Amino acid sequence: MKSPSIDCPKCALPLEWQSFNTPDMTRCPSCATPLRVEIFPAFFGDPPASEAAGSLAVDNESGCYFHPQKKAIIPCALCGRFICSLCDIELSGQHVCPSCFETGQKKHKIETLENHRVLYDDIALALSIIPMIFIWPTIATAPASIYLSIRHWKSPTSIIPRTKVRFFVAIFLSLFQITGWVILISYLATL
Amino acid sequence: MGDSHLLFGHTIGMQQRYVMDKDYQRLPGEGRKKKSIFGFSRLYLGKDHLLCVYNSAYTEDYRRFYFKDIQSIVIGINKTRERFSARFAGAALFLLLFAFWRGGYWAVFFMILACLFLLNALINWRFGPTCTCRISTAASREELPSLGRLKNAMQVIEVLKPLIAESQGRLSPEEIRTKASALKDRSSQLP
Repeated sequence: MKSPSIDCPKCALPLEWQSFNTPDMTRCPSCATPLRVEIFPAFFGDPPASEAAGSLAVDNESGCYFHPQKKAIIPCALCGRFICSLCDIELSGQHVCPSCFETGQKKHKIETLENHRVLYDDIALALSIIPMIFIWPTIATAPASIYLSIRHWKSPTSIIPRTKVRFFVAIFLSLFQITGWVILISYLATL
Repeated sequence: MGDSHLLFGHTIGMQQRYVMDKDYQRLPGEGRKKKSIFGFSRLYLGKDHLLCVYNSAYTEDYRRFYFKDIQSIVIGINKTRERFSARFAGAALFLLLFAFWRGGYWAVFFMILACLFLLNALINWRFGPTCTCRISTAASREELPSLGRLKNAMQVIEVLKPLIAESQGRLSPEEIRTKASALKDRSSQLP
């Protein structure tokens, strides 16, 4: 296993400890780039101790749901099953079992496991604004924008909290465009 | 920094106070990820982690750096500011010469364009030195595109330091010296 090292962002050569956690900027000894290096105890962290394997359960102790011979240390925060230290997965202060972890990952129920999200509100808004430049496409994009807004009204958007204002604006603009088209078509029909 | 405040239950300095009533608090800085045309990257402070959001117009990707896992943060000053300012100033000078050579109404047009380039160069210079900021955990080492300015990077480091220290503890200079030399010895013994 390669031991951890801190390299200069410019020349990529390993830095010496003298440049760590200094209050002012230091310089890389090889390329003289001004640097600030902050290291934390996790950098020197020893590999996890073998206690992860968990101790064996004795008669009057409850065993793990997944490994009955192992001593349970905590109940799963989602399903309540007793789990051992081997099965314990910590997520934002909550302890969950591997089964709930997998389900949560599949069904996007655990927010801290999500690494990708589609911003439907931004798409709906773009669909209602950008085609206005060319006018004609709005006959198709305005209903599409309304459909998207309604269909994904409750879909999760960004993890960063945001309001529904984009959906509101998209619906308003799309309704405005549809009204315009209805007026135009009825006017042409009367001619 | 005498006055202190609570941030997600952590005591923080007055200058590090952010909006307190959200899951995520925006940290200073915004930048573009390398090789991406649209989109931007921002940093948010969560309860127990730092969230890096890569927005690419209609989707968002997330990277989480848990305070307990962060090993190091390295900031290295680079020459991006000088390079960009020189390019803008060069373009402005070229346009100015072109304006004098051309004369007439075109001269006004080119002079306005030259002023815009010059303004860009000045704004870029005014924002301060640029830097590369890299965060490392045991599993990854990632550049943070939003911390492209030294001022923002320093500000963020000052916010993060007490939070990381709270979850990992602090390293004294003596500890750094002994642990770093022990690590060096260990790595030299490796085949």
